[in-house]
Order: sequence, then structure tokens, then C-alpha cells
Amino acid sequence: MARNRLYAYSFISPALFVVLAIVVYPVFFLLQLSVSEVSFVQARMATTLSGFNHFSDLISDGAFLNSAYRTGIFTVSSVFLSLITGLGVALAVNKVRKGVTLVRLAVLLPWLLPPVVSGLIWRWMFHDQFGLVNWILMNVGLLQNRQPWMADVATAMPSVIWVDVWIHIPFVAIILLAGLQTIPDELYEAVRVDGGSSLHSFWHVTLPLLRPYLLVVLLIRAIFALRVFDIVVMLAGSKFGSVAGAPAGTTQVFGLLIWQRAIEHLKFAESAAIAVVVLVLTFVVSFFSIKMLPSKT
Amino acid sequence: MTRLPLVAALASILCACAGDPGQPTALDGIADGEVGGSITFLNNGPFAYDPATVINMDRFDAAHPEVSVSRVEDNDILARLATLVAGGGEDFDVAEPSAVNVPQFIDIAALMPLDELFPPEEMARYPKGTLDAVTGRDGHIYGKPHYVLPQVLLYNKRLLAEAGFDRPPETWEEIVAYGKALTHPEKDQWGYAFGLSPNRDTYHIFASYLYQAGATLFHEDYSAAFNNDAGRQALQFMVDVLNTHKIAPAGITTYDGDAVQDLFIRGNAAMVQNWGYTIDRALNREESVVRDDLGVALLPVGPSGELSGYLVMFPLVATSSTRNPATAKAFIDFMTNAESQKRMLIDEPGNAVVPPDIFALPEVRERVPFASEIGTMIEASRAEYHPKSGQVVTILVEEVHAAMAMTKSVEQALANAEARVNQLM
Repeated sequence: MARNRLYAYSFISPALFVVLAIVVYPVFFLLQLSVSEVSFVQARMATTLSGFNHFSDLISDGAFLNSAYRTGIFTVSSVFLSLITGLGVALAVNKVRKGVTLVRLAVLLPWLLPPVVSGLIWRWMFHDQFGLVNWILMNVGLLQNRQPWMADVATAMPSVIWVDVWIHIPFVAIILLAGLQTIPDELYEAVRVDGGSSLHSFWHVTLPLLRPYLLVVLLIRAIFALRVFDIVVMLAGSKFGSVAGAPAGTTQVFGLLIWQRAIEHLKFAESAAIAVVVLVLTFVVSFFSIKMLPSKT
Repeated sequence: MTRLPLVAALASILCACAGDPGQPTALDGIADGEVGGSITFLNNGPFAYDPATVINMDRFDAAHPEVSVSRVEDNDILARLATLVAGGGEDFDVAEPSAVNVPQFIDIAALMPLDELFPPEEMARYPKGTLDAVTGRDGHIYGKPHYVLPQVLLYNKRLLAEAGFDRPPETWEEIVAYGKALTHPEKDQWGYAFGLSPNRDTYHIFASYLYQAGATLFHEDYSAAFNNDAGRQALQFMVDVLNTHKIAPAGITTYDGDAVQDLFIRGNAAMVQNWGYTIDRALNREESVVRDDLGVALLPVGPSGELSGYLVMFPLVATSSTRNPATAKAFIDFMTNAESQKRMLIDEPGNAVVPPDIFALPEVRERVPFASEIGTMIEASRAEYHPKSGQVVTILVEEVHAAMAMTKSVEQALANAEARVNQLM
């Protein structure tokens, strides 16, 4: 028995080693860096343990607090809106009987594009002078003047949220569609026989049975949203790698701040402390989401 | 007998073509044995856009067969330098970062001093102030200018003439007066524009107006020097162009130099303050509608009454971790010698070089459009050094953008920026 176990471990040891090297070590290094002071000796980074001062400094760090607020707005709005719209799309696609493959492919398209490409496409579409969004809205009479979507403090964050929702609708829709297809038609039939409306069906059959799928989507979307970087850089940053979260810091999410502190300011320890905060937040979201999932029994 | 003069002539032509090895350089004193082996050069952006760099590297290869240069291109040199110091290793030997990113790496000893590339006769070629951005607080020079991007005023002669102007504006007041007459949003036509993308562009543009107003960014001790009347005039002018006079598109706070250039060459802006490369694109791009109407002028003067601007520079630097310092220096020396600089100016329109003597060459005068304006602007421009340059750029981007978005007053933004900059040292 012990020999069999040894065999088993020897088979998984290469994979285990890879996981340790590319997951465990970086996380450990991040944690160590976040409680260290960084100095440069002969142009090389050197660290000495210094305690939790970088974490306590965050409490009075205006940029961190602004980022926390912006990340909160972004995460809640983006996750909520993508869940609602994704559910709507899933319900609509579930009704399609002809050309199912084509419709699903079309729905998936935004998710197939790399986020950087999507960000670049929308950057141009939001351009105040040459962008498609202004052109359409002005031609249908919804806008009188060209709107600088990414330069206006009132529209920059909503624009970023919209693009993130647009990218993730397919992901939400496909998972929820899979859930919808597991619901037996007999249950809807039973509601109809009892004289229930479509709303009754949705409220008493669809939503309860979709709950585990909704929670999985909520969990994954929340993790994606907390870590967002690429889309915001493409829309509100710049091609020179600067990530000031323009205009006036309104799009400065955690991902941008982490990059800015490390790469632009060479403040690697402070940057690591913020990354650890994001890591903890992600764990908390994951923990509660998993707790809410129904158990097998 | 009759073939001898022909052979001699051919030999001399060949020598002239390969002529650079014979050209005196600052490193002539370095023993031959020290230059050799391999180095890696990290170019700022794709080589496809840097034909002169490629030509000069080919010339270096021909002149130094004992050296092997690996050519690497990257759009984000800053990230490469940061990961180099964070992760260790000898990733590259020579790089071409933006000068504004250089000081913080000098400050942590990540770059090698290059003083020996500046003997007195070479130093004399660089006008005062043009090397400040790469001169560390220890007085050593850590980068040699590879190319620079001077700012100039580009204007659409036809639009100005139609509005009754027979010369370009020469002062801030004229910019506003011309801008108002030339702005017609209903025709998608704007009087004036500059690019205030939330990155080092904002730093460069603010510094440019600041110099025109008669102030500087920093005092000698690196404390902020911009929170004064001149600073307020500079930032107020930028805010007013956008929000009060409304002579620029509302989106300029998201525009980089390319976006400003697009606006200009498509005829949507009558005047722009932009980088010199716009000249080549305005003259040669297929979509340019200003090909026959392009005017280039010196930047208008501000309250100081003096011609000035910010000098954006891309120096060649050598990492202190290089295992081949002599070759790295020899490479930098070759890539920035007078012949290479001439090639840069002629073969890569838009990228300029610092020394005025290159602009005086008849070949350059003939082949580089508006060489006189570009040369004059470079001589009048300058840049400054701050050891915490990365953080200073962030601070100025945030505060200038807050003023532009009118979430802070000009006074508040400058006071906040001053306090934050002063906390750094």
C-alpha cells in the first residue's frame, strides 16, 4: 500500500514541482516583499524584513484609498451588470431553435478577443473626434456635441465598466446557458398547468435552479474584476506604459496602482503590499462564494 | 599601368564608404583588445520604424566585425529596466529609454557613467541645458543623446489665410486670438491642440509652457519650482485653451502625439504644438490633407518673452550590470558620432539630434524639411533632472489633469503638486 502511494507521488511530483515553482514561490516572494524594505545595492534589489509598516501606511495613502473606492465601484457595477445582461442573453439564446451554433458563436465573439485588443478597439470607438460611438449617437440625435468619453470625469469610469461588461457578457451567458439547459422542461410545464405566468416560471423555477451557476459566475467575475488591468490601461492609460488612471484618477483601479508603484516608481515593497491586499480580497470573495454553493448532498 | 589610378580611386571610394572607423571618436583611446565580444541593444520600439538606427547598427557591424550586437526591440523600456533591477541578470547592455525615465535608474546605480564619451570637443557640440536630463546629481553623464523630439508649432497655411492671418502666431495671446477665429466645431475644425495623454506627454507639455512662462520645474535641491506666478500662468493657459476659450477638442487630455498629428493632418486642427515627426507625416502620409499647406514655426513665446520648450530625448545608456562595458561604450559612441547623427537626421525624418553643427551641414539643409526651425527649437529647448523622476511624472500628470478636468483649481493643483514633489526628497 505504502509502495503504491510512493509510486503515485513519484508520478505527480513533476507537476507538483511545476506548481510549486510557478505558483507557490511567487506568492511566497510577494508576501515576503510586502513585509520588507527594499534597497538597491549595485543596481540589484535587496530586501530586509521590516514588519507590516507598508500595510499600515496604506490606511493613510490617498492613492490607495482612491483605488479601493474605484475598484469597488468597478467590481460591483461590472459584475452586477454583466450578470444581468448575460442572463438576458442566455435566456434569449436558449429560445433559439434554428442556427444555434451560429448564434452561440456570435455571442462568444467579444470574449474570444484578447482584452488588450478589445480595449484598443473601444479606445478608438470612444475617440471624441473620429470615434464610432459619437458618430452614431450624433446621427440618431442622442448627442448634440462630441462627448470626450475617456476625458470626462463623469463618463470615463462608466465607459470602462461598459467595455468590461461587453467583454464578459459571453462568458456569463455561456455558463448560464449551460445551466438553463439542465432544467427539465417538465418543471416549466408544471407551472403552466398550474396557471403560472412566464414570470412565475422565471422566479420559481429558473432562478432557483440557476443559483449554483450564478454563484460560480459571480465568483469568477468578481475575481476578474478585482484584478482588472489590461482593459483600463488600454482605455484610460497610455501606450507609454503610464497608468495614471485618467481623468483625474477616476479610473485608478488597484491593478494600475500596483503597476505604477512597482514599474514607474520602483517601490516594489509598497506595490507588493497592495497586491497582497488584492489577494486577500480575492480569497474572501472566493471563500464566501464557495460557502454559498450548495453541497453535493 | 593605366589601371593603377582606377584601382586607387576605387580603393579610396571604398574607404570613404566604410569611412567611419577612420573618423575620430571619443573612444579612440580605448585599446583594441577591450572592444569585442557580444552585447545586447534594447531599442525603444520596433526597428521597422527606426531605419536610421538600423543603418547605423549595420555600419557599426561593418566597422567592428569583432563585436556581435544582438538587436532587441521593446515598446516599454521602463518596464524592462525596472524588471532588470528587480530580478537581476544581464538582460541587455545598452538601451534607449526616454530621458525622463533615466534619473531614477541613475539614482540606484543601475546605469554606467559615460563621461569619457564627452571629451571637451564633443561636449562643446551640446548647447547648455541639453544634457541636464542625463547628468546625475554626482555630476557624471549617464546617457548620450541618440535622438530628440523637439516641439514645434505646425499650422495649416490655407486655414490661416482663409481666416485672414498671413503669419503664424508668435505669442500665447495670438494663439488664443487665432484659435478663436479658427475654431468651428460645427465643421469639426479646431483652432489649436496639444496632446496631454496621461503619461510623460503631460509632463513634457506642462514643462514646455512652464519654460515659456519663465519658470523651471525644480530648484537645485530638487524641490518644486513651479508653484509661482509663472507656473500659474502656464497651467492657467492650458486650462483656458480647453475650458474657457474652447479652442481645442475636449478629448485632448487623452491624446498622445500621434492623435494630435492625426487631427492636424486630416485638417481638423488649424494649429498644433506637437513633436517634430509630425512634419514628415504631414508631408508624406497618404491621408494628409495638409501636404501643400504645411507651415512650421517656432513655438510661440509666453509671458517670459523667451523662446523655449521641453526637449524630449532618447539617450543611449549602458547598464552597470553589463559584462562588456568597453564594447557597450564603443557602440554608444559610434551610434552617436557625427556621421551617425547626420544619418539619423536624413534617413529618419522626424527624429532629430542635438548638436547644431549637424543642422548647419548643407546636405541636411537640403534634405531635411524645416531643418532651420527644428535646429533653432532644439537649441532653445531644455530638460531637467529629478532623481525621483518616475514619481514626479505621476504627480504632475495627476495634478495637471485634475486642473484640466476642473476638479481642482490651478492654484490647488500646483500647491498639491509642490507639496508632493517636496516630500520625495
